[in-house]
Amino acid sequence: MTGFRRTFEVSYRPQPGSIAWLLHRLSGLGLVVYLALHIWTLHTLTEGKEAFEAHVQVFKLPIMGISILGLWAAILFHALNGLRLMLVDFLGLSRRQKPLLWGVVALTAVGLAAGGWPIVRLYFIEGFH
Amino acid sequence: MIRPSGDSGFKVWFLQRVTGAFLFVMVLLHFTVMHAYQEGGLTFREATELVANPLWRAWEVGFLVFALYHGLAGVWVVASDYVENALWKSVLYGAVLFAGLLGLTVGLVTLFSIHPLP
Repeated sequence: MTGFRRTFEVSYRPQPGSIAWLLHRLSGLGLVVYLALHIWTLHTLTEGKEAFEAHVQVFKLPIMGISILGLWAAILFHALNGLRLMLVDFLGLSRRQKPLLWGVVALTAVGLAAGGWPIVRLYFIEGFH
Repeated sequence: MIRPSGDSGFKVWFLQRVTGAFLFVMVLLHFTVMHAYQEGGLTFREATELVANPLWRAWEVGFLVFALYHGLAGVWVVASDYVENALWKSVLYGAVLFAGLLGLTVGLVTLFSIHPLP
């Protein structure tokens, strides 16, 4: 079986650790896409003030608010889970990887609420300026 | 000839952790500075003024390099799981390398060619 199909062959029941592995990969790939878009849109700064600020208007659309929330969730989970991976790899905490995962999930939820609220307020409640 | 090295993958594995640790700190700083500097939308003035500071600009260059390495090495690792043919693997490696150089070039052009309006 090729590697691609093997990924989705669920011969073992999904475990928190394997779900975390999948989410880490998905969030990572999403963040790479984001990075490319970010580099490209910031490049429009070189076109001068008016061109840049026209581009910035696109970022005030509601769909961007939702995308930014998704981005924030991806950043939080990927960074915190990455930290968990380093603790397991370098401090040998593999026996505690599951409680560490619950910590990651909890901190992701807290961070999402704390950082997401200003975004929701700005995009969907108050509006810009 | 471009081809991936034959080691066990240790260098990439280790560098992912190193760059990941740096990025954790860098993202926190980037986030804090960006949000302290402006409310609700970046303007041309704020963007160019930040980058005009040579220390901050050097930081942004480092951030760009680390982010590109970590992200593209990640793409390489994930895609390597699915690409087993040696020739396609070389193509993949070349594509990842190219994407990195392209991102670095575009990013550096941006960082070094924008100036605040007088």
